Amino acid sequence: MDETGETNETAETGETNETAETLARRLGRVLVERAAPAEAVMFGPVSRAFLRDPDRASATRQRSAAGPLGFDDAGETVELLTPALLKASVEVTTYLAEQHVTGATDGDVLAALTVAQRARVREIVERALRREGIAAERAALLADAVVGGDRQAEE
Amino acid sequence: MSVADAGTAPAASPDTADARQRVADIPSGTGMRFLLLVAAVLATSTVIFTWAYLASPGRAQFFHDTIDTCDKRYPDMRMKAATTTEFLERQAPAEREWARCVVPAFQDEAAWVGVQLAAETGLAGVLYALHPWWLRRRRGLVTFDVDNPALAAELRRLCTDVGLDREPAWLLAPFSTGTGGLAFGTRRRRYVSLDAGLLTRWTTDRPAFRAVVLHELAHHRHGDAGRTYATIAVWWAFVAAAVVPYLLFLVHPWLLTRPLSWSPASLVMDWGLKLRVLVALAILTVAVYLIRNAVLRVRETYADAAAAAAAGPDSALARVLGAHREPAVPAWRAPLRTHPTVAQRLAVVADPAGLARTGGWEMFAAGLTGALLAVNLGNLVPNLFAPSVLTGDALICLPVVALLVGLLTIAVWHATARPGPRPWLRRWSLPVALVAGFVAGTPLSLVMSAIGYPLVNWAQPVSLGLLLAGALTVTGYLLSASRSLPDPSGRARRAVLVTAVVAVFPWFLIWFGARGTGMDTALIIGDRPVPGGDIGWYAALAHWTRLLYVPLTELENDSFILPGLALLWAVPAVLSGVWRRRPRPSGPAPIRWAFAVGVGAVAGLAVIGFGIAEPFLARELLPVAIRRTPANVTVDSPPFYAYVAENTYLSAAVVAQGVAAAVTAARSTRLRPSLALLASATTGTVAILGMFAFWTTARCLNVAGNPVRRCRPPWVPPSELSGVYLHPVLIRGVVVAVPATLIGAGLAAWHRRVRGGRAGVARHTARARRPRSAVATTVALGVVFVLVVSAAVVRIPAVYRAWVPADLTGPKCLTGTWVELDHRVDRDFGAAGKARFAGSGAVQTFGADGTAVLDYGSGVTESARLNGHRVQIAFLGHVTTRYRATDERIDYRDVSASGGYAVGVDGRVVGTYPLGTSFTPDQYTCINGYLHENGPGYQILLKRRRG
Repeated sequence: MDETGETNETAETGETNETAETLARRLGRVLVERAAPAEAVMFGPVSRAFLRDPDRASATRQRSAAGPLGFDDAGETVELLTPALLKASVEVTTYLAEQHVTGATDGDVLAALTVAQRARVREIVERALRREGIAAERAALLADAVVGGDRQAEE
Repeated sequence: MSVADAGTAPAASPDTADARQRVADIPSGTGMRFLLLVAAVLATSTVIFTWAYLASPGRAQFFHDTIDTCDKRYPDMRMKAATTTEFLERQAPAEREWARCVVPAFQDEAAWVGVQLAAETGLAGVLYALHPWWLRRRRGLVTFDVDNPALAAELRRLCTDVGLDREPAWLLAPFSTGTGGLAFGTRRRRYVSLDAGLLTRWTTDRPAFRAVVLHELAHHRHGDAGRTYATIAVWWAFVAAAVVPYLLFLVHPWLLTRPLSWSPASLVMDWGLKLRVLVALAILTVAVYLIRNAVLRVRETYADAAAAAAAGPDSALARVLGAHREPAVPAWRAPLRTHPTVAQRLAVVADPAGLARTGGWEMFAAGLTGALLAVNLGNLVPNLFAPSVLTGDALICLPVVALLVGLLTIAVWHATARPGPRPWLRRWSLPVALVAGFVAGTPLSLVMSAIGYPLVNWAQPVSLGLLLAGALTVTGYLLSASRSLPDPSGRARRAVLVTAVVAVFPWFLIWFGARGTGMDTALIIGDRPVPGGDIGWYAALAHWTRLLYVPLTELENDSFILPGLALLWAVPAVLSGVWRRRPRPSGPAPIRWAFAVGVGAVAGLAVIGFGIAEPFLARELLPVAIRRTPANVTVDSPPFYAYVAENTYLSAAVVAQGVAAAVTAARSTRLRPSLALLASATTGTVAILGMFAFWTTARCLNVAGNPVRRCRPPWVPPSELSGVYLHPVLIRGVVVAVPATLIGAGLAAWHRRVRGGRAGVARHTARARRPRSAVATTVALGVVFVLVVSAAVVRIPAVYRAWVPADLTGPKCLTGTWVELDHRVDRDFGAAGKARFAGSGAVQTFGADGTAVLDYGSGVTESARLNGHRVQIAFLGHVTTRYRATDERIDYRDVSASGGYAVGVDGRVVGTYPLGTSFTPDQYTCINGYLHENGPGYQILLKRRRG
């Protein structure tokens, strides 16, 4: 079991998908720790649930635990970034696969990117966040936090 | 919002544990309400399953065949009796035997219903077991293996704080942006689901995170999850296993017999019945939903209070709740909510004592569900125990009384703990609402709706009045106990609750059996005395000292009544420490146990004084011819002097019990109902022991004018003294003592108000503080308790016979000695014509060895009118025979006679003849104490002779 809690399968048929999924989860954790550290405590089960059924993330987002013996939060909600960031990480993973970026299996995958690739990744993240309903300005800030921060560190 | 300190959670402190315990000690009664709800739903199912049974071809055939056979075998059951004697000697035995005859049909029906009910309960069990799986699936919950050590430690600590013995399985709603949680699961496998949004609070607002998690854990601490989801499971099992099949039957009545013969006309067949049942089902659905939600709202406030107590002064629950932007909800939607309003939740968090709240609506709902349970089960259970109606009724009434009285006890305790505005209205509205709910629930039960019972039935005001009077009386007792007894740990409340259930159960049982039968209005005055019936005052005395209220005679035959009533004062006496020497001068006024015993003893001595004076008065007022006891007195003889005198003494004892109760209530301030009952019991006990003085005086004065004067006390077996005299007098005394207590307390309150109140109370209290011997008081209470309970114990054999009638029928029943009560025979006098002769008094003995004797003793006469002449036949001697009996017929052989008979016309003997030696076979019915023989042209009713 790796740090994300996922088993690494070695079967020939599932290896590619498994690698992409593992990469997406690893990338997602990086994104969450940077953009929404308060959500990091539950990243493992949330990412597993997301990758098992990405559509369910949207369907159940606003549902709270009201009903018998629920706390009844009176509709009070908080913004969850993990699902949006996981979607972004999946797209980024796809892009990186197209770019044949394979050398970052042991840590921060973003550290291995060129400036152009990094800009593209930032763009993918920002677009994914906006698709999830996050305002443009905030999406840009979050994308900067996720990718730009890394760039600053490199510089 | 700032990121909270990631330090460790505060440890549970002793103060936290105390606060948590204080919350747990406030009774809610929700467990009982859940139970009542589940029981009412299952009871309703039994009605539907009964209908299904009757729609099932094979089963219904057996059932109807059995009923028809029994109808034919016992036709007297349907023939309404014209007189009381006829009812007792013909119709009642026939009804009882018919009930016994149909038991196999009802057992078959009950077996069917039992299987269906077991299947429904099994389905409910499966649904209950599956609810965690279903919730996880529907809400998309995932296992939350907490890999963050700090968070894991935090969650463990919260479990400890709230008092949970083991950690639940943690789940996560991974995409829920809400900030709540959810408790569910079974007792063995508990779950708490946390919204993903809530988990972010662990970092951003840890106190708020703790508050919500503690709330959910508190639900598990209080056992809410099991009860809630069990109730929901039972409801859905009821819908699936009972309601849906029943609706199918409504649409297609011949679904089981002719499944292919449906036509649209089926829909409108019996539409009135169908409409009533559908309305009843709809109302039941709404009621169950609303009651369930009301109970859930209470559980939420308890979870809030426990969460706040567990977190101690650092609790953020009030802040979290206060931040809720609660949308305005119309008043009509409030009962639909599963959660209280934010304002209500905040009030309980600020002051957990606010948990002590039971309103009129809760009691109304309890009464309604209680009626649904009792009336629906009443359709099935009593038939199984025929002819002992009491056994079946008791099985229904005991849980209903336990739950309703339990809830009333808790509600009264709440009302006393937090009086609030207009406390008297709040307190006394509780029993009124409970009774109103019971009355409303009766027509809504499926049984009553099917037979078209009117929604408002004003035809039974006496029944309803008695029920209300009983509920108000119990409430008065509970109020007094809740105000007067120290109850730091809830022990007193629990003891009083059990006591009240034990005391109320036999009264409710009698009421339940008598309601609506007309028996509850049966008031009979005593017979005219013979001789002396023409003396007005003497006849009136005989009438009123033998006043008979039929349900009261049922109570007098019940061994459970007196022990229950004795516990009503004995338990508070123990709880208040009657044996302690002195109350503190600065404390509340003492409970006047010694005063009550003293008043009771004085009143009892006054009755004895009256008993000694009574023979002297009788000698002055009545001539000896009237006082003389008639010869050949039988059970059916009209009352005579000795009987009237004894009844007068017993009535004086009953009146004295009322006076003692009134005086005690007037001169006491704490535990007045208990003290009044004690005084009443003491009076009755002393008065009955003093009957020896009354009897001895009457003997010494030879009031009855006997040939021999015997001036010594009579021997009365203790069992007779206790069972025949003490038991009924104490029960009648209680019936008088209740209104007397109210009058006494009312007059005292009025007197205090008129005389300036406080001074009087102070004098009264000062007197009450004078030292009395605690040991003597305790011993006196103990003696009265033992005597009262022993009066009930000696009645047990008679009560047992009433509850479990001997199963004696057929040849086995025949063995014994029988007295002819009514002998009717058609005799043919040839050209003179036929006449029906009537007589009684002959004795028939059937021995176990197969011999039978018909004995006319010193003479038995039968008579008739024929052609305007009075014809009499006098029989003398006896007839001996061998007999052989089957279940329905007696055959005779080897008949030998010794004696003869004489025929007289208009008083002149016209012929004498020897007794005949040919007996025709009898058709017979033997039911315990009664034997009915009949054959061509004759029928004889006999009663078993004792001894």
